[in-house]
Amino acid sequence: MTSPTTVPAVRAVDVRKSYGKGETAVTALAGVSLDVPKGQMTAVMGPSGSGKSTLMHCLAGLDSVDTGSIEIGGTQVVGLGDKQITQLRRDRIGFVFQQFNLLPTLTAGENISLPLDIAGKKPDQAWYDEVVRATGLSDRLSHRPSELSGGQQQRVACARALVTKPDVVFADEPTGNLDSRSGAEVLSFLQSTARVHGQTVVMVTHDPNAAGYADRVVFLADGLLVDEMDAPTAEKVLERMKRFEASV
Amino acid sequence: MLRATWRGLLARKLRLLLASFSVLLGIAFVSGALVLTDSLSRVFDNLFSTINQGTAVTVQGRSAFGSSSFEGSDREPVPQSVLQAVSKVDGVSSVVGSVSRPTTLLLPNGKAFKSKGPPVLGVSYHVSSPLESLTIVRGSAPVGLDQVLVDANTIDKQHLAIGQRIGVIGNRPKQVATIVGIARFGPTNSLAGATLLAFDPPSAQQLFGTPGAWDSLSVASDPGVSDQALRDRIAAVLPKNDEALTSAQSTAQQSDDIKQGLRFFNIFLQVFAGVALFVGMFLIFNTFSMLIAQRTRELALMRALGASRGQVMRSVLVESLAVGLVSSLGGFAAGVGLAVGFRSLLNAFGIEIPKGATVVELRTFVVCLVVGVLVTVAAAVIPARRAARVAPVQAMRESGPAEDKSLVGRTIVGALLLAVGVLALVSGLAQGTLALVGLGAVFSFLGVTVISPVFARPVVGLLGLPFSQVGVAGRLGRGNAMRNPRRTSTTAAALMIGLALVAAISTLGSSAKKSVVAAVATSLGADYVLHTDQFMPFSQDAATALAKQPQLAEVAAFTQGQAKIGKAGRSFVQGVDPKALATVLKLKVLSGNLVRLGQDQLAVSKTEAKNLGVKVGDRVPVTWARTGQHDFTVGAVFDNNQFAGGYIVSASTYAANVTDKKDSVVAVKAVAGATPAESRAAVERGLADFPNIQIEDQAEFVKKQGDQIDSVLNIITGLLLLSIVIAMLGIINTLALSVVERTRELGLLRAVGLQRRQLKRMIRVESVVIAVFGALLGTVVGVGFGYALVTALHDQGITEFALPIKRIVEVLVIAALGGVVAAALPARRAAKLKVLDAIATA
Ligand SMILES: Nc1ncnc2c1ncn2[C@@H]1O[C@H](COP(=O)(O)OP(=O)(O)OP(=O)(O)O)[C@@H](O)[C@H]1O
Ligand SMILES: [Mg+2]
Repeated sequence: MTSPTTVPAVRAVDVRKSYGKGETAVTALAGVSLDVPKGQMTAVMGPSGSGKSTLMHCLAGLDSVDTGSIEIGGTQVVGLGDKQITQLRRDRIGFVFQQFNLLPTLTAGENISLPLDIAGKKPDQAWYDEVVRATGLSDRLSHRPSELSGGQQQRVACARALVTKPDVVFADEPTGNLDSRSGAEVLSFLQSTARVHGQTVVMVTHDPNAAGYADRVVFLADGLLVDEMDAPTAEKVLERMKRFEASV
Repeated sequence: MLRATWRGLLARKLRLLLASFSVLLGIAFVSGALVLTDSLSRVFDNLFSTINQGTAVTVQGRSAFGSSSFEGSDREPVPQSVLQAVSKVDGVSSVVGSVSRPTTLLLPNGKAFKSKGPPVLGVSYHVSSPLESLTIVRGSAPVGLDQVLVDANTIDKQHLAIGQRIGVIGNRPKQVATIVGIARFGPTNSLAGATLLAFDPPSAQQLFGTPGAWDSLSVASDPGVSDQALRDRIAAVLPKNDEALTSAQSTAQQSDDIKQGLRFFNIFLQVFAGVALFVGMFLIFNTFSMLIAQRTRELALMRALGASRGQVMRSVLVESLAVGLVSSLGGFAAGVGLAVGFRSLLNAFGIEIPKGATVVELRTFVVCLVVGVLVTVAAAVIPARRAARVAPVQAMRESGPAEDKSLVGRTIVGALLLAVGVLALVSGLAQGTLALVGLGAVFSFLGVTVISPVFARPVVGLLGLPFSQVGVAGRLGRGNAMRNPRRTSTTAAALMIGLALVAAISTLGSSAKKSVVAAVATSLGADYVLHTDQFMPFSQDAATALAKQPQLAEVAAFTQGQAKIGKAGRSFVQGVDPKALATVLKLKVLSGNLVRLGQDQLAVSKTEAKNLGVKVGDRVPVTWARTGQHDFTVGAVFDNNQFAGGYIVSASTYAANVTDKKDSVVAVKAVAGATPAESRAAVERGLADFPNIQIEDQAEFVKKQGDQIDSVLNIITGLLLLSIVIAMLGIINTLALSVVERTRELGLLRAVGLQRRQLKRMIRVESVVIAVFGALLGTVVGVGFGYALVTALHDQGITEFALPIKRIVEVLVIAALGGVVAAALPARRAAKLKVLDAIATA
């Protein structure tokens, strides 16, 4: 896996999380340990209800864990107060949701620079231009989200997630609402940020084709990490999933 | 359908709560005012019938102005001979004459007692008459000029005690008397807070009234004689100057006088209740509009499932009906409590209200219910119609933010409403029709509200600009305030109303103050203006004493009263020595000869001459309260002058026609060359025995008038606070609903790193911008109203226009602060949102 001398972008150790109490309690994460190396695109796969989103939310500091530890770029996340964790999200984590990623009142350009505006920082102009160029939407920056297609909106969301040069970008089914062509645009965008710019990306997906864009795939089932695969292709992933389903 | 409505109502109860609270507040005011006036009416009815117990018939001088005893002092006293004649009438068991006149009380420290409203009366006390309404509770009955009986309320409030020496100023300079007793008036400590200084009857006549005459006679009857029969018998022996009333008639008359005052108080409070309800309607309208916008999909689904337009509309109206009912009932109940508060308000003005039960008439309940429900349902009609227009297909569509409809129709309707409003307002002011003025104001407000979304975006954008420079929170807040101009406008409009009224009366006030300055500069020649607190008339001996001071060149005593003049009706008339007038006022005589104004001659101001259509030499019928109608000749027409008023007669003419020969104002001009210190010392020497009279030079006079204007302004502004508070509730409600509506946006913002603090600031900025926009609208509209008022009142002496700059700045600052306060709750709610929950909300 990763050489022990370099700090991973994300390190989770025995993360447990359950919802509810007593009889009705649902265990979403039953002790997940995971290292996400820097500069890679990692895909998280698994059946519905296996805890992918929960893991993602916990790693991104959007949700609290019951026990375990999570480090982002070497910083312990568990136990931080709302203020610090918000700041961490703002400066060191990017997030792309399945839908509703953009503020309708802001233009595409304003949406992209939103995290910087919130932090009151000047954008690194070269990086900003780079990110915008990569979205292929340089000429649509003054448009409102309602004037953009779903794929374009998701690309703007990815740009927004990348603009702060975060330690890691989390994307929860970023192509879930898109047709295959728009999905492909978004996925190659994410892939290139990892390959070309050395950004770290963690993405949840159901789609083997999407997983094929990643450098590595981890498989989740019933709140546990059950398998992983380096240099995945769509076929290999599909085959692995079939096997996986058979074993259940 | 009804069940769905009910469920919906419960689901949204929190959101509707604030809206119904606004109606509740308004209704509480309505209910409180009604309960208070009903209770007071009952109290005074009881009080006067108790007082008149034992009195069968009252005899008093006849007033040419009809029955109301407001002009009581203008009744000719009843001579002792009439008392004797009445006592011989068959069926009369006893007769007692009484004296009751305004006077001045000098406290033991020598200072004049300044009443905040209720009069100070010098009265007679009959030791052993069953007809006497004063009862001694401590001490003894007064005998002679130097013994006085004081009502218990005044003893308490002024910390007096038996044995202390006080002074009274009635017909003559200061009379010192020792307090020998404390009395109650009927069942209470005083007559509605009036200060009663009672002397034995001959002393009372000498000090306050006319020796050998009475202000009224109370007659007790023999057993078996009806009041009416006795009244008729007594009336038969009275001279034509006097009249007899049965005890029921005089009770009604006395009680009516007080009720007249209460009715005014009631109307005064109802006007503010009306303003509050009007503002509340905006709140209801806005809340329902927003709830319906948020429920578009749900409504469309109902339509798709087969609900008719009528059903949808009805379901919304039933919802508003329920809200109206709840808030009316709550308001009614709260008002009963509020009545107690109003009571202490009256107490704060020094009006002692006799204790009595709280009277809640069925009428109060019905009025509250009907008004509350009507107001709420009426405000919900437009949102209900909008709900009915939701098409079934909208259930399927992604419910994005309402697209911008054209504002052209709005502009036209708004402009039309505004035009009608301004027209009604201006013509109402010109004719002096208050209802028309009110209607004009309502239409103007509606017009501005309808039209304001047209310019809301640029104005709000401009207002928000400073905030957006500071940080992203400000920029987002500004954007939110701009994104739905209609919502922003209606919310701001609610605030506009209260603030417009504040701005209007402030404009009137600042203009009035400036007018006083101008009037003093252009019209007043005197160095000093002398008068008592509240312009209570004072003894003519003061002017006589002043005239003896060599440093004073001219002493002009003004006596003031009312007379009916031709077709002008009841008007204000001043009696003054015409020669002195020329020195103390800068009065320009346009025609005729003012200095030689003779008996039965009248000087008229330019405006009044025009109104009456008269010129010098014409004859005008003048009716005096005491002497009735005479024809007067117009002796002079003078240019309008604030201090001269409309009509002037010579001092001797005035004295011949009125009973109460007292001065209201004395204007003094010092001799040329006297220093201010010398002339003031001379005035002070002249008034040594009249500590009740205030000495004001021109600057002091201006300041005093200004202070009085200010205190009236403050009371009105205070009452308008209610509507402003309601408007602030409106801002809270709009923001709270927006927070709900934008849950996902808020979640997203938090997810990408917006701190709670920043989120709160964003909502605060939106709130402040909306509030300041409302304040700005209010100021502009209010100054417009104020300008119309000032123009209309030009002839009443508001000759100048002045912007109340200080007040306007205050209002804007307060509105901004109010915005911050209003944002607190919604901001807290928004900050508490869990990021994940917010994102998950579909
Ligand atoms: N807020 C919640 N309250 C209670 N249970 C929850 C909550 N969120 C998730 N769960 C439960 O936790 C488990 C994991 O859910 P999670 O959303 O992480 O799954 P997922 O792998 O993302 O599924 P999908 O592929 O359908 O998105 C599920 O059993 C789910 O029902
Ligand atoms: Mg999921």
